[in-house]
Amino acid sequence: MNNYMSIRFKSVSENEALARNCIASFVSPLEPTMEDMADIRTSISEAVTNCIVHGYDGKIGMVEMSAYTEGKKLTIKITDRGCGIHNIDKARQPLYTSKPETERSGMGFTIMESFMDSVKIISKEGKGTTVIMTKNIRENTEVSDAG
Amino acid sequence: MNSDVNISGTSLVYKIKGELDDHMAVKSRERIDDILLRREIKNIIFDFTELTMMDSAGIGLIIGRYRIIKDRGGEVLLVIGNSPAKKILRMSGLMKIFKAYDNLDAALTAVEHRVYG
Ligand SMILES: Nc1ncnc2c1ncn2[C@@H]1O[C@H](COP(=O)(O)OP(=O)(O)OP(=O)(O)O)[C@@H](O)[C@H]1O
Ligand SMILES: [Mg+2]
Repeated sequence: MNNYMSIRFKSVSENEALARNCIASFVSPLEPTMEDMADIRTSISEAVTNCIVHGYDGKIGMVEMSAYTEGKKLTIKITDRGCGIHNIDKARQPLYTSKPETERSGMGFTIMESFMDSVKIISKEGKGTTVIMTKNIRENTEVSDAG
Repeated sequence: MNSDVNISGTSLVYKIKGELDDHMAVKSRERIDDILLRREIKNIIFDFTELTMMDSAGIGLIIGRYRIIKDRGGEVLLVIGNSPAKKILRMSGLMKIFKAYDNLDAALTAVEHRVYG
């Protein structure tokens, strides 16, 4: 089945869980494995946290998240209208963070890239950032408790 | 709050249940650092056995606490069990830096032997 959803929420850290839960419900009809589900939740968390802590840098703005499924393929798009990224290649590098004075590890994009099948970053300084991630949901061979 | 604090000798056991994201990491940092200020804690044992998810904020939380604790000659231990956090801890190289245990008893035994043995 092909499906689509979209939500907008305030850039506060409480909404990281909202975003994860929302996508989890959205993909559940595809019956992802526990590992795929955890990978998706973690990647959403990374992208949404980046909008909040970097894009809006603690200021209040709106984060937009949409998702669609085409068969077993999930696509998620997460957008902020914040500061944008000056150098995308640098931002993608493991351990690079523009906030070394805080407790950031610079692993966000590295985690998204390893947990999802593709991660695309579109950004314009002063305009904002969009991250588009895709993942093919694997066939679930885990034995269900139901039987 | 979805976390439990237990103090055993000079070790702080901090157990987080559910999801460790940026929101939870900030709360945990405040709670742990407050205890570190007031008590003579040398070691921190993070109990992740009931964690269902961890993102990069968890890496920051662990490394940040290690920076404080190492000046006291202590160490950070991780109790992971079957937590999905294992994947991120391994990916980020944290499993190589910190000792990881399957259950809390094993981690407590390890610190006790180091302190008293
Ligand atoms: N939405 C965004 N808006 C502006 N800058 C961003 C955004 N997302 C990422 N960045 C930039 O890219 C860098 C790398 O992001 P990444 O998520 O990999 O690491 P981090 O957020 O700094 O640390 P961590 O995710 O480990 O807590 C950030 O430090 C920031 O400079
Ligand atoms: Mg990040």
